Amino acid sequence: MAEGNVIELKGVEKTFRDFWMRPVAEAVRWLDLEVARGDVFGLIGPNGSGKSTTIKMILGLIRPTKGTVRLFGLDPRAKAARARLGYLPELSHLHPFLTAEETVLYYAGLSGMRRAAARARMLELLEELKLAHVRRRTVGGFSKGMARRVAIAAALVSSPELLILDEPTSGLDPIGTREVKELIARLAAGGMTVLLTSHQLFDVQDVCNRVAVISEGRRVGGGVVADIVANAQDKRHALEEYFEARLNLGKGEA
Amino acid sequence: MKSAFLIAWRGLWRGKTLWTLLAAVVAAHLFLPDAVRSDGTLAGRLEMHVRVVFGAVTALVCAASLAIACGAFAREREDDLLPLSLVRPVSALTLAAGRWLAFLLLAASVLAVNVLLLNAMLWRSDHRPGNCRIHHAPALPPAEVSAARMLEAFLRSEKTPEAVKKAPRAAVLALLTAKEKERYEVVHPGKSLTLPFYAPPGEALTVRVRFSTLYNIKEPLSGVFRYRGCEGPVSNSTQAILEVPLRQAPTEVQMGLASAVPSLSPNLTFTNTGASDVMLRPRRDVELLAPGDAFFANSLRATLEVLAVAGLLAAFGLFLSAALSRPVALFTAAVLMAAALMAPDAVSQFPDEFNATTGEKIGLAISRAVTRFTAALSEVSPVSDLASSRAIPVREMGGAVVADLVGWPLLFLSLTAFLLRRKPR
Repeated sequence: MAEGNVIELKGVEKTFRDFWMRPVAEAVRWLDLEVARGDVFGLIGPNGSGKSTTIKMILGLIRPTKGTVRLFGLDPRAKAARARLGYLPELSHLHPFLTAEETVLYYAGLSGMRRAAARARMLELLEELKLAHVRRRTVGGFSKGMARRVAIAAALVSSPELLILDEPTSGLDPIGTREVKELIARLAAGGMTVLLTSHQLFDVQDVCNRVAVISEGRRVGGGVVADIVANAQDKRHALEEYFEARLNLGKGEA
Repeated sequence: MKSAFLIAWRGLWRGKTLWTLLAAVVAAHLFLPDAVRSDGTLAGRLEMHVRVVFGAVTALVCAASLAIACGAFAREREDDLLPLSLVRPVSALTLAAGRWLAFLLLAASVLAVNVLLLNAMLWRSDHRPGNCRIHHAPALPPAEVSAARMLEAFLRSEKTPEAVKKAPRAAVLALLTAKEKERYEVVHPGKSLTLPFYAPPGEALTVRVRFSTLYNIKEPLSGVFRYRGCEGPVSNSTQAILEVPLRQAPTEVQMGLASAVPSLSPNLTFTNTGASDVMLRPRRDVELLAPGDAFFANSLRATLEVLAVAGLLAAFGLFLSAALSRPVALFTAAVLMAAALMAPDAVSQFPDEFNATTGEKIGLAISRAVTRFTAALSEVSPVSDLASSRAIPVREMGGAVVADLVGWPLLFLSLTAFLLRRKPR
């Protein structure tokens, strides 16, 4: 593993099989990916391109059929690797009977945090995410946006070195989206590595410094966002242009 | 573990599961005793009260433990919550054990309220329970050992048909064991039957017995029981369950039976002084009862046995919930429970294994396997023991607790953890 890489995927393939072990879908095909420390890395691709499968392999929830996945140089299932990780799934399902503060404290507890430290961090996060006034309300009655912010607080409570965000702005209104983007920028400025997936290419262009484009399980492009913007004719829609071009190229190659 | 426990406990608390179960327990205590009929005696009313109320709550707690546990991880997987826990630096076994402890606390809370209510309701009724009694069975060799000896004798005998000699040994042994358990001894008039017992001396002992006759109809009987210098006369009819208190024998002369010498050996002797043959099954029909401790203590032991079973079912439910979706897990649990409850009867009441069809043989083999697997469960009978004032031996209770609250749950929770890692979504 190269020095400074937080995530490294080498020749990763994932084939889903049915009960009789017959291949059903090739979700990821020969994927190489490196995310360096301090990167805000965007994984972009159309629906069904293999982004979520890739994230699940990075999280250790599923094992690759071929290739290796390393997280902080370790197997993603190793406790030492998971201790340095925060994860926000695409849909903010939360235990509806828990209050906002209990939800955050629950995930702090699973991360092995001591009660006093967890409580202090929970209060700090709920304050930052503008949830302090509803911290004692059960999350079952929260709006999508509020539930999303609780899920973000739960992901951040253990102060992870790597934050994996699956569609972080999904379900948020424009103000909520802006606040999350600002939060990601603040976290990145604080040295946190962020890997995110999103269909909102404007958002990715705004917050990420590197991207990878995936199509049909293969990496069809990627690079430094600043370079992509510099080479684009329409600076505002630079990533969108690049994305479309790489997808068409990928289809042509296929 | 604490976090995993707390989240499950809060779910039970705030989801109103705990309160619903407690309300059902209170309702059972208030309404069920009036809804059932007994034989009218105080002892009969006590037995029916305990059997119905304690039985209903036991069934409720066991079914609830299994059903709630069946939904635990299945629901989290449906809601996509499981990956959020599994990506944390915590083992899947810890997640499973925390939830299991919460389900165990739920069962313990409901059972604690139940046992307190049961004692309070009985205390203020006209059929207050007395002390329970320790049941001593005859100290006979296990039925399996007697059956094995019988089989060896059969095989040596020239009279034994070749078909029996060639039959599968396990099947013949199972048949002979069942026969041995139901074996009758005939006591002719003027003759005695001796059975070994190891009840402690110096206790106020009672013989609990049920006699039969050859034609299985009621006939008058009379006789006398003797045990370690004590004796008790019996004069009643066959088929009735009789309790014969044993008192210090006056003297040999006064007993009037020259042939029956009071023995200080640990043997219970019955001498038939009536005019008819009487029969009894040594392994089923006769017990020596010694005074035990208070009903309250016995009800606590019965409660612990029920808690152990509930713990085992909760662990099994968690295992199913890790493997299957919620409806499938619930259906599987219901089918397996029904099979476990019916299998012992299917085995014991199977008419003739040697003339069975292939389908029947397969069914019997499955029933035997299920019976063997669930032996740990079926060996305790807390409801029946408590209702009949049978003192539950601490050793029996301890065995159930160790097996059902430690051994089996450890196995099921380990399998649950394995499945959670294999199938997080």
